Amino acid sequence: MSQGTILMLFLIGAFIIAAVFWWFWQSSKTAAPVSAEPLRRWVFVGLVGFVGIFTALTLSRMPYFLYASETPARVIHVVGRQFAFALSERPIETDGDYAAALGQTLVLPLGQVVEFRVTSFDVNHGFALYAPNGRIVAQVQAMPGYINRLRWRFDQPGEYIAQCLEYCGAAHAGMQARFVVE
Amino acid sequence: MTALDRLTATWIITVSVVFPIAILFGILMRLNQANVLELSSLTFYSLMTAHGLLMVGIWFVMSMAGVSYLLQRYVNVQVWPATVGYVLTLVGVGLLLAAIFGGDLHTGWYFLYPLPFYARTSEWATLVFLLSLGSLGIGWFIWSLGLLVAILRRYPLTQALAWQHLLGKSTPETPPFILITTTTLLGLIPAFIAAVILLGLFLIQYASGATQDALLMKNLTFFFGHTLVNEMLYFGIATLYELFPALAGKQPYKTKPFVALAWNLVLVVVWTAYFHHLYMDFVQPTVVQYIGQLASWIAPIPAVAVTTFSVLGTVYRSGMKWWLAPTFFFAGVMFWIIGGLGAILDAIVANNFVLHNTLWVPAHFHTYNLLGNVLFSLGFITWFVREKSGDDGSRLYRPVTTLYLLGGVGFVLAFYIAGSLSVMRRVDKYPAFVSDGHLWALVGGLFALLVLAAVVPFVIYVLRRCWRVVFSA
Ligand code: HEM
Ligand SMILES: [Cu+2]
Repeated sequence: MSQGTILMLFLIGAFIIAAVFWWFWQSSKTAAPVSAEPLRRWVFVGLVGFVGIFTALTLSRMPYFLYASETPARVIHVVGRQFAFALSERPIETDGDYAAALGQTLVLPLGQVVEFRVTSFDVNHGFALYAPNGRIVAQVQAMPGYINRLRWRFDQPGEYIAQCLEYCGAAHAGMQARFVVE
Repeated sequence: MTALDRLTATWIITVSVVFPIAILFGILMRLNQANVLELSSLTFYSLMTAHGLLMVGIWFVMSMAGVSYLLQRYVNVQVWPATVGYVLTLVGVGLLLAAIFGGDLHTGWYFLYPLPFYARTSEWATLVFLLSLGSLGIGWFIWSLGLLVAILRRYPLTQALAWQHLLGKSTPETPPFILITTTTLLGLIPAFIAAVILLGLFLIQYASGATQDALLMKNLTFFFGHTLVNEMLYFGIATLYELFPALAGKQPYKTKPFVALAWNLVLVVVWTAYFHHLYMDFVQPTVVQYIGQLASWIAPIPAVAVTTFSVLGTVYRSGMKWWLAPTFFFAGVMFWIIGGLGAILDAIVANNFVLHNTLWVPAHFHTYNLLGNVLFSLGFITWFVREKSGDDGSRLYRPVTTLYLLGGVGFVLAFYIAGSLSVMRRVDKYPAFVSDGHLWALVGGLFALLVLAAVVPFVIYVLRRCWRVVFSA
């Protein structure tokens, strides 16, 4: 689902909930003995149906297995450290590797699978890919001591921004790296 | 006035004083994000850390205070555990503010490991912060344990959990209030244990420099933090079950088998829902991620189903009188569900992939806090004030409810919209590629001013009357 679809779903759902509550609020202005027994079943069936449908639809679309059966065209090593990302095609293991990789602008292939191997040298960071249209297309955490593998296929050419998405200290807002897809 | 009356009034006074200040911090943040104000990054993140911790803190203790007060209807409540809780909370908050504003600690409210060793300018701030959490944790643990013991003296555990109703028997009766309070208190115990382990591991590193496993620390942090915030909501629901039917002029709720089943399920499922905070940690075992999505979806369903049913059924053609307390409870349930919808949409892993750590997250948790849980507590507070002073605040009714709800809705809506536009959370200055952030920050900030405009007169009304309870002969 795109972010816009999710917002629409939310707004529609919120509107329906508010309408139901409004209707009951209005009904409270008159007093009459009633049994609410049929209502219970209605609420319950509605909720269970909702959960069932959504779980079935979404559990299969986990980002952990994206392009799992393909061989990535490129492998990019990513290291976060307060307050910059280093991206390189060579492993980044030492401070020297990190410094050498900083500030390079990688060019990644359009329409092919790229694997990012993401980690951190200090605190937790978040590695989020913003497309040229300013929307997040994919993300993964950068955790010290662990390597998270994210596979992605870029379908839109242009300049991408990797933005830190896990709060990591006072200069977190400006923690970015750029790369180009063409 | 009894000792419990005074203690409860003291809690209400404390919470009422802190609330508008914490809101002000929130507004300052929003206006800074809108470029209307210029705060330094350090100031912004100190305000953010203080805002989050103060808000979670005051509304957690207020929901506990409400439950402690109402519990005396059924069992013999001792005042000392709650008093210890109060004193240690004050100590904890004092240390916390010292660490944040004296030592520039700016880790954010859940202080994700190893940030407390980085995000501060004075080394002592980390230690003071850890001590502060220790004080809060111990105080709340003693208090919760006191309540649990009080319940178990009167009801055997199986009965407190309403297992006889689960099996279809109608006697002996377990009131829903006892059932929900017991499941909530039991649910909190593992969270407190996790907090102790977490704190211990932090202190070991502080003393010896030995680093910890970041994935383990993150699991512990969210097991504690998520469970605490979740259970705080359930305390609010317990209060609602106890007070709402009488406010509508109806008989007290009974524990039907379905209600018993729902809350027993909640007790277990609530512990696994926190996994959704780690969806974007791909190294977390994948099976855990599946459990996380299922649990996040299943956890709220029974509670929402039975509560909605009970509340709507109570209101339907009741001819009830709407004043502050019932309105707060009713609106609280509605926004709790709406916030829950925002939450479960984000708890779908595929959606979380593009929403995680965007403003969608504060959007949904402010919905069920500011417009949910806080309203349950305000419902209790207004009920308490009317009990003690006879004044139901009718002059405030229209302006306060209108401003608060209107302001609140606009404020959270600005978060939802910005979140869907990929504007990130916890950022003091929005980078140029998410320039949408500024406009929505301004909109959110202005609506939040309406909330503040409702809260200030309301707080004055409450303070005056609770002051008299504390200092009455
Ligand atoms: C009108 C009232 C409120 C305003 C204006 C407000 C404003 C804010 C703002 C601007 C943020 C930072 C958002 C960001 O990440 O960019 C925030 C975060 C937060 N707020 Fe509120 N808030 C309000 C009420 C509440 C309430 C009632 C609660 C809880 C019971 C609460 C709990 C939190 C928490 C836990 C955070 C996260 C802090 C962090 O990221 O470390 N807020 N709030
Ligand atoms: Cu970062």
